[in-house]
Amino acid sequence: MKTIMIVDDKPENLYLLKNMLPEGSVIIMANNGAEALGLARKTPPDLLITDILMPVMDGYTLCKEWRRDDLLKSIPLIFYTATYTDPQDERFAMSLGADKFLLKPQEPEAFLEQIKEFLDDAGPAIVSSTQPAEVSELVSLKEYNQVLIRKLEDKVADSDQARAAMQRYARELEREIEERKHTEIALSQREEQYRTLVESMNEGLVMVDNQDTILFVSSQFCTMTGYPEKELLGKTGYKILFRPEDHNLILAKNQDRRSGSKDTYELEMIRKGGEPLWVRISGSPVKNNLNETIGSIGVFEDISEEKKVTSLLDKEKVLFQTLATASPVGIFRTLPDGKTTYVNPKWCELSGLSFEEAIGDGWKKAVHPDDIGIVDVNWKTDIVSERPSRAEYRFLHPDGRIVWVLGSAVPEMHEGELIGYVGIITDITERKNYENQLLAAKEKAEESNRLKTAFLNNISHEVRTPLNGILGFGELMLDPKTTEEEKQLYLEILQTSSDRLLNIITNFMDISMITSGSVEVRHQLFSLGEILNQVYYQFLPRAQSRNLGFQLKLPGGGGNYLIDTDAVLLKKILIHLIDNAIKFSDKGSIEFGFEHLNGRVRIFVKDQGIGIAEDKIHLIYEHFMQEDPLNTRKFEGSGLGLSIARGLVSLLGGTIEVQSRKGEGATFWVTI
Amino acid sequence: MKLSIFIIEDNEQNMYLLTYLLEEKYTVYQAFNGPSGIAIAKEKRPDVILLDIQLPEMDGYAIAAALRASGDLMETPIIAVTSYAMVGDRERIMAAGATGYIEKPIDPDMFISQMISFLPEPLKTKASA
Repeated sequence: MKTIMIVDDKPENLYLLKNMLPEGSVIIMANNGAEALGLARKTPPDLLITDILMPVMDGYTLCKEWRRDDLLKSIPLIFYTATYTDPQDERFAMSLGADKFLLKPQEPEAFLEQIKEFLDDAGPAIVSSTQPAEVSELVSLKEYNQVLIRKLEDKVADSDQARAAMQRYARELEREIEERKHTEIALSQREEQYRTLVESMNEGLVMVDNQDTILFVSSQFCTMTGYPEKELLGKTGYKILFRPEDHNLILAKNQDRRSGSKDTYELEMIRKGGEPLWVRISGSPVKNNLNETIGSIGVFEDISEEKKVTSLLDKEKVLFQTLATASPVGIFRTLPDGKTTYVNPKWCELSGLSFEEAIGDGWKKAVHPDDIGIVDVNWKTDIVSERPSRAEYRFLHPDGRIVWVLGSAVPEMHEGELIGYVGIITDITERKNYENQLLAAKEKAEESNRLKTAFLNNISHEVRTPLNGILGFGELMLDPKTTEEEKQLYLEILQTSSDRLLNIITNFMDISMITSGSVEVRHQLFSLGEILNQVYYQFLPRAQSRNLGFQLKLPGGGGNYLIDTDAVLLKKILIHLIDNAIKFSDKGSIEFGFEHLNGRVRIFVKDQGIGIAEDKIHLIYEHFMQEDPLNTRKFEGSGLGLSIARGLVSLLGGTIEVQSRKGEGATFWVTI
Repeated sequence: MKLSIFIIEDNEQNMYLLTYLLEEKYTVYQAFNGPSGIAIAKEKRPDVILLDIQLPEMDGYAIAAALRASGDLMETPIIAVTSYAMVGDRERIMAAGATGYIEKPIDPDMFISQMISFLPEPLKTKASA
């Protein structure tokens, strides 16, 4: 006797299954997995046959629990299902530990055959139903019963499927009806929304087909164009709304749209009555279900106000550009941080930079290196304080040309905000040149005045010194106490002082005439050797009296060399040079003469006297200058000799040079 | 005892002339340049110093300043006798410490009285005696 547990949630299935099982078996029935588990634990069966799809606990779960339960896990388990019929389901079921997977419905014989193995093992629980020997009424009845069961089972199975299909279908229908209801409501709501949207737009809306036939217009479009709706619908849009010269443009745009592109353009349309109106048109293609363009939607925006402003702005811009371009002053603009954003052509001309070079801090490289430091510092200081800035500075052009400019910049405000600076530069080169000339003239005048004062001071001093002797000793001559011997001495002093006075006056006269340019040069041809000879004999006694050697050196045949110049002035030059040579020598000898050099004549006067310090050489030709300053002068004399000599040399078109070192004598060369 | 007068002058003729004019009434010392002039002045302590301005090595301005810086000679009258006779020269010389100023060419008849006019009392009386 075998105990078989069968589990199914449907009573009819349980009934059918019970009847397929071998007679004499103890049948335990359960409606779901949970119930089956509970019963099995109380009374473990020899075999479990279970449905899969069940409430509370399904067959799969039952199988898992079964195989986990120590008491039950060795008991065979067969799935018998109508719902899970895939090979996949079978594999799954087997993987959970099922011993067999049978599909509903099964013929009773086949079914018994399938489960036989599980019952055989357990002993002679099964009575073979196929034994012909025992064919009896009971067997026939049983067979009949089984056929009935089979048919019933089929029916049940069919009706189950049909019912399920019906239910599904009904649900789908319901859903569809529901959806349609929603869609209709949504559609009408959306249509309402669109209508409101279209009518509340400031822009006019028009829809046309591919031939530009008007299919729809919004009321705003009618207002905008001045046409009532009925005068627009069915008409060819471009023909009634645009000028003939714009028709091709519209057609081209429509063509573009057919290829699926959107665009926006501005055009002047013609309202009813001929009045023009600027509009911005945004066109989008309209497509059907097949994604074919069947027309386009145009959004028309009235931009006449915008156009007025733009045209005004354009005019202003043109005006500004014209002014800036034609301006005789340089114009520049900068950001609040001082970086240049604009310069006009005149600015470029003044600075020598191109527009591109001037941008940012580029302008600085054109400013003269001597000016850029202060210009930059002042500019930065001014822009930090956001105040107007002014500066005079120079631009240095690559060719070395200098342009003076007066620059002036003011903060540029927009709605109370500093947006930068705008400035101008004016060419003040001419003014600066005049200023500099004036300054130079002033300095020259002042210098000349200083010289005149110094000159007068020197005349005064130089004249008073010999006069002191003349007047003093003249007085003493009249003194009755003066002896004849003394009188002789005083007369000599009077003589020397008078000579000196005369010499001084002559020098003053000469330098005045040279300075004022009133010396007349009289050229004549004469023998240079002879002039030098005269000078030699004139100075020989003085040189001898001072124990100095004194030599005249002439080149071979030099005595007859003829020269074309002013003999009087040349002699004066020589006298001054030799006079100095003797005056500043206390030893050695003095040589003078001439030589030929590169087709010119070079006269030299060479002494071995005190010489001139190198750092004082540049001063020796200055008026009244000796190497020592005036107050501590060791040597008498006005300090005019070399000034006169140089002035005269220059009048004769020659040059004078000197070579000397302190303590080593001096050599003067005069090249004529 | 005679008043002593010290002449610093590089021009021999001028020195001769001044000495000639003064030696009858006063004791005269001579120096021909600044450094020896300062040394002699310190040694002799003259009552009056006559000072030329254009001198080699050290000019009259520097000598006057040096004399004034020396304690013993701070009060000694220094009278400049000079050819610097243009506007400003007198002021410069007085600023350098001179007591008086006589310009060259000198007037031999007037020279002594000009000199005395610059002296303070009691030197003035003593010099006039």
